[in-house]
Amino acid sequence: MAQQLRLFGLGFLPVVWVAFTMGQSKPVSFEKDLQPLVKQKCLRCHTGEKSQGGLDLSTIAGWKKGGVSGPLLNLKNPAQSLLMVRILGTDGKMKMPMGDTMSTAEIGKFQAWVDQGAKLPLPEPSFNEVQAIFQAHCSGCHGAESPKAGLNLFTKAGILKAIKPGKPDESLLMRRVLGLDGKPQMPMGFAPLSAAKLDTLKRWIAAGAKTETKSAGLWSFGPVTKPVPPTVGGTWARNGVDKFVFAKLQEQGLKPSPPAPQETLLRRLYLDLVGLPPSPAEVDAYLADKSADRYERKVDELLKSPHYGERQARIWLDLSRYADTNGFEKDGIRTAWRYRDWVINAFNRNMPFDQFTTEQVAGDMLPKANQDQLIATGFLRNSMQNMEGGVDQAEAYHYVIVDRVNTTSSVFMGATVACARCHDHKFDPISQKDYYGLYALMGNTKYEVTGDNNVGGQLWMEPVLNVIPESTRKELDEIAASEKVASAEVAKKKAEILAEHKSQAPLVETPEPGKVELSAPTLTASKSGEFFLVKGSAGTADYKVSVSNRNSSPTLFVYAEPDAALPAKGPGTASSGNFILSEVFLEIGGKMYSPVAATANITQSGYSVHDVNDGNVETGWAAYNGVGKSLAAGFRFEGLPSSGERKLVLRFGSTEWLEHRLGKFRVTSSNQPTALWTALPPKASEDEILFAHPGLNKQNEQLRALQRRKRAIDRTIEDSTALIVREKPTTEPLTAWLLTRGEFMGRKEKVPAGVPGQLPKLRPGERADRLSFAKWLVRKDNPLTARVFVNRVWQQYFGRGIVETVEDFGTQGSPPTHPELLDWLANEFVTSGWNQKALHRKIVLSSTYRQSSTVSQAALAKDPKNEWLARGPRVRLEAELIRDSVLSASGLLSRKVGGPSVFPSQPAGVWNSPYSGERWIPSQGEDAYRRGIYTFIKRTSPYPNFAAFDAPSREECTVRRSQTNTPLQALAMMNDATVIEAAEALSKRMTREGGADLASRLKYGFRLCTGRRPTAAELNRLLALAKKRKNSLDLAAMALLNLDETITKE
Amino acid sequence: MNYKEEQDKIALREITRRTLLRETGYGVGGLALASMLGGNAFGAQQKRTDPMAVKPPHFAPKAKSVIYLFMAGAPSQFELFDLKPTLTKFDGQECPDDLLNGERFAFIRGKPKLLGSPYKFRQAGKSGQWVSELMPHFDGIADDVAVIRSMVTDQFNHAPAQLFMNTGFQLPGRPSLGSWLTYGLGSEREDLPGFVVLLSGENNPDGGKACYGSGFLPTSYQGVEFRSEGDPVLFLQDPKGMDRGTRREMLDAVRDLNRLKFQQVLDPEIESRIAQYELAFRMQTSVPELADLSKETPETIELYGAEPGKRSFANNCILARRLVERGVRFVQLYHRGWDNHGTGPGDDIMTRLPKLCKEVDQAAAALVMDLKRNGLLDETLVIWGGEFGRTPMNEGRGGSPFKGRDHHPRAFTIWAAGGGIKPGISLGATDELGYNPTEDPVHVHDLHATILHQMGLDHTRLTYRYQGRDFRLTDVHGNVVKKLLA
Repeated sequence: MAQQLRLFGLGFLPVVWVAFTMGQSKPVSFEKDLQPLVKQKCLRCHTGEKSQGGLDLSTIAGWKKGGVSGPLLNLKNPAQSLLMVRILGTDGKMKMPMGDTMSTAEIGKFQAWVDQGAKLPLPEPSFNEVQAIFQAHCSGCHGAESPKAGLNLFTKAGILKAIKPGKPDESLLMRRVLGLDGKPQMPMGFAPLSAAKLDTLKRWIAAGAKTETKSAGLWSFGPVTKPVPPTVGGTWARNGVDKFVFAKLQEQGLKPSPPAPQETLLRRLYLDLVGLPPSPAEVDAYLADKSADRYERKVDELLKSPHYGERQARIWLDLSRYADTNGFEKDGIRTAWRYRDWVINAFNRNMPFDQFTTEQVAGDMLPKANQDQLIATGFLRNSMQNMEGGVDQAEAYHYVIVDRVNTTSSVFMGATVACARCHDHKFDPISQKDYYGLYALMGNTKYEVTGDNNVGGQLWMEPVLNVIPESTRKELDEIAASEKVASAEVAKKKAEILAEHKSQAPLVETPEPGKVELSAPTLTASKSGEFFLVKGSAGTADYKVSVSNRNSSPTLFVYAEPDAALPAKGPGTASSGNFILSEVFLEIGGKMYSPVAATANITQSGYSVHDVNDGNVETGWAAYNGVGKSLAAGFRFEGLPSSGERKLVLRFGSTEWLEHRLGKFRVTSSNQPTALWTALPPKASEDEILFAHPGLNKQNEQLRALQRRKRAIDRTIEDSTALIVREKPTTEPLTAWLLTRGEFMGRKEKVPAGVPGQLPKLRPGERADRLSFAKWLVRKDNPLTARVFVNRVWQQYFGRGIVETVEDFGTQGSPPTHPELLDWLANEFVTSGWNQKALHRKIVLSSTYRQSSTVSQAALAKDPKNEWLARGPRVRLEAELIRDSVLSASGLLSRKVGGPSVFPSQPAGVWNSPYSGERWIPSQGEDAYRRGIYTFIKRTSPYPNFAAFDAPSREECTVRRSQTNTPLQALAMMNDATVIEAAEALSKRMTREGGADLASRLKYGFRLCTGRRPTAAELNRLLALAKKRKNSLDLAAMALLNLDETITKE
Repeated sequence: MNYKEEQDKIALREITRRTLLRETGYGVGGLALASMLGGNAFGAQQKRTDPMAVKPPHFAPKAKSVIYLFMAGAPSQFELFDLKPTLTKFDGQECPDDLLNGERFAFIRGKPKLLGSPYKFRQAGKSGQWVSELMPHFDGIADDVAVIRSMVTDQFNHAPAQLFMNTGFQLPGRPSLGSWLTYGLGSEREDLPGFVVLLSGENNPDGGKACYGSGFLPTSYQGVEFRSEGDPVLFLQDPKGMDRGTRREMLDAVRDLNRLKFQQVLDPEIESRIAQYELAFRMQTSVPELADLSKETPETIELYGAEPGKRSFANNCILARRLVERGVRFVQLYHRGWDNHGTGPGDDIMTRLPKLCKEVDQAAAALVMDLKRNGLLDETLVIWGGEFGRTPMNEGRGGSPFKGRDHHPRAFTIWAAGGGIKPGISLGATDELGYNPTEDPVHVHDLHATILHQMGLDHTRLTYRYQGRDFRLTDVHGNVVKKLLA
């Protein structure tokens, strides 16, 4: 309540010390004695963070911290405490409370409290703290499974059974952990609880044992506020980011660092925005640019680079657990790279984050989903798939959905939803029902059952999309159109031919009784009536029959007959009576002419008479089903010269089936254009009739050419697939089984699809499915998605998030260091239309980002982790970026964007999967030097160099990589073949491009690696190394690539 | 123990140490030089600050190291350890329905037939442990090992079961046993990894590298493969033509340049990197020395049945002893091939299984004996076993005439020796058909709790905060198997 304000009340005269400390020897309690007084006299001006003098007396923390003038309390010399100095006015300044007075007794209370050591109460322990103690020390015996002595310390009821609120001394729990009453001290068999933990329990009980968890008011579930940037920071503050950061620095008694040197800042910007270091030429051009907005223009230029998308995708692919194999035992290869390209393109096109989200979570369900939107659902399909023989596919699929729920909630909600798969979340407001509600939303996807369950070989396969590039699609459309025209023409012609066949003229043919030449001397031919009879053994042979016909487009007929002299009576010479007529030619003047059409009355399956002109001696006309029967075949020739002797060549060339020749045959010829067709037996099928008619050849050929083109395109498309999901069509409300303890066999009850109950609801009337869920994620009143995303973006620049636990915005995560900044960024992001590039731009334009990362001893001691951002970030590069930087410095890097994964060199024998013949075959040419993001990812066997530098296996979603510093990293930089090759290239490049003398070459190499010029001392050290090596740059190049700075953003 | 707190402490200690360095006139170089010479700049007082620095256990440990002989593919308990006369009696008869109702099998469909073991059993050692003729060398160690005949797991497919046996969870993503141990205890040797993996047999484990991955723990704790082809540790060998002196010259330059950088920006990570490069340089000597079996006596080589230079389980067993001798915390050997379904002679129990036993029996026994005679068995816990057991029924997939067994998670046999494990005992038993445990079932979580216990760690207290939750190797389960403890 506001007190009446009396301006500048005179107060009282300086008082004798003794006067008010006398009689105050009884303990003064802060809560009972002081707090009412403070409320009455002080809080009017000293409440909240922006209160007078920066002093907040409304919280215990504020008392501890003091204000801008320094700490309030001096425990070594209480009389010197600023609190008393101000109350008594002994520093000559205005006495407190300003504009009010306090009685001697009231002042006495303050003084006595200070004299007694100024003991501030500890804050009342929260139920969460108490639960954490139980979890750490008691869960072994008093957990949920089978609690000892019937005491379950994991339920509120269980805990309340063991205590008496307000009375720690009478509480059984306290007495047991203290080891009273002659009973063994708990936790039995382990070290007793620490004094601090005992005190926490005691104070919690004494304060009434409140069991409200903080989670009811979990900050991240509350709406995003719209804080206004404080008016601090002066000219240092370029934008809102800086104002919020500056305010916190002030509170912490810290000052921002000076700006980073231009070269350092430029390299930082390049690495952050495109993931590649700037070349010395780019640095020089930048430094030569004297315009005031050169930095802003550089930012905009880099945001437009195609490599910006690659850099952002590097991070997103960890979240979306992108990999090129299925994982688990078989770990077979999958074609997934279209999704990676989609991500890179989406970033490059600056796709708004709400669309980016919706397409990945439910692109397939968008109205008239296009190819790209389907590819986006690869986000869901990146789950592993267990294809090990004998796996229960229903269970395997269950874990696929589990992975999708966990990944989606981690990526977009920063929520540790996974805990609730087995039980209600212990700390955060997410119940097991909430979990299976999400499961139901995401679990209604299609699969096809393949394989034989009887031999444990069943698989549930999700959809695969044939990806067709735009240009190919056009070509296919053209082909389809031409095909339509050609088909129509063919159909018309066919009808004519069929009609004509009914009224055909009789076949007119002339016998060709001439001579036959046999190519094998072991064969003999004799005449048997009109027929030739060939005998003997020769493996393969050509028969040449002289032909008298001189027509330019004749048809020649070969008739074969059985004969008792032949094996199995023939007409073939093989022991079965069969033959293979491999090839047929008409030899004219030494030239060979092939038939353009052929037909036969009896044909063995797989040995078509149409293959007599394919150049393959193993194929041709055979008729096992014609043994013992009369056979006939006709061959039409076109465009023959009129002069020259003609011989019909019958080639029996099969080496697989030797002795397969005709034994008894004769030849006739005909000049009728439709002879083949006319010769067809009366019962010929439509196909045979059509095939034999010469008039159809042209149209057919056109159609066949189109079909060949289409098949060729299809073959290229086969290698160009994408993994997608498709929703099962249903109008039923979606549900899922709630599984006891998350066990696949533990079906308990069906729960409806829905979003967690403590968050905004789906819109009324909206069907609860994956699409509505996706839209809900990016609704303006969703408190999580924007916060979680901007926080991760912050992490990518500063090495840690505003909420350090980027994966956990729950009660167990770290609270935000700059809560207002987080909300401000989130709010700006949403109101900008989820504009990602604008967000990145805002951060890199801030003074906070541009600070030097050089740290002073004092600053390091005060803020070792740089939580308050009094300096710029200095962070080791991610594994893939180390590769990119090394290749870039050496000049080997390929800057090709997109495409299938590549196989850069890795040591032999790293791959050895059970049952798989798949091997790592190093890519050649440009693909050996692509950016790290394109390296093939095998989940059970990650790329060794990347694994050494903390790249995850992509078996599950990784929100935050660990940052280690190990000897294996040193070995990888010393000896990985890629680095060695890069060092050789760098050495050559320094010689080639670095100028004439040793020093300038070394300087150039140093700039290629670090983006800056070396100091004199650094150059001298490099010179010493090179001179010892007779001016060779080989070792210097290696050393340069191994510098800490080369693999660090600073 | 919370990793984040731990790291904060390390960071603060680092600052203190640096202040000390400056005040005593040691620069970074002085420290690096001192550690290069193999000692510590401050003698015993200087503490390691790397993630592998030795950390105190929760209570006095029984064992300092673990050697885990992982029989990937899952050996048949019926052919090796679990003698079942009743099963032999009913060999070829249909399996009783009540065993099949509601049961899921990997490959068995319909009504399978019981399969008695074709092998003879004997009682080995003074302790009289039952073992089959396929394990002739077991006699030498029968009185040193505890045979656990009642192991139970939750998983019946290889990849999930191997992950479960190694990480306590059936999907990839959790830290493995070796990672938890090195996270909890660190490792004594700086110039060797604390967690080493050795592979032999048909191919790599089905669960992939996640079997020895660090999951959500920092990657420093992941198992490091010692390979039998190429470099024993990846990237260990300097490029062709580079001698040690040249490497030293290059590293000296890198160190000096890094030191100059450190003076400019004072980032402690640079100091750490300098130290890691020195460590790497020393590993280039210590690892080949370690991997070189030529110093072993012919008698030892013969004891193991080893053939130096080849990829074999026997060689890896000798290496394992050499590793724990040098203070490596956790050594894991994988030997894959035990998946004897009987779909052909290549995976049956008549042809394939005896070959596998020959590859493993002698060397595993030799390892225990060798550790014992070197006085290392007391402080080294040796475990032998697969990821699950095999069914008492013949699988007969697609009517196969070859004998083999399907996957069986309900009961199987492993053994443990040394490191405070009661020697010469059998723990647990199974029913007449070997289908379910009848006495002292030991779940995978119990085994994990027991291994951690022998290493001085309370499995309920070894936790790591990740995604808002304190994770344990044993999740919310596990009891130390007291009956196994000496």
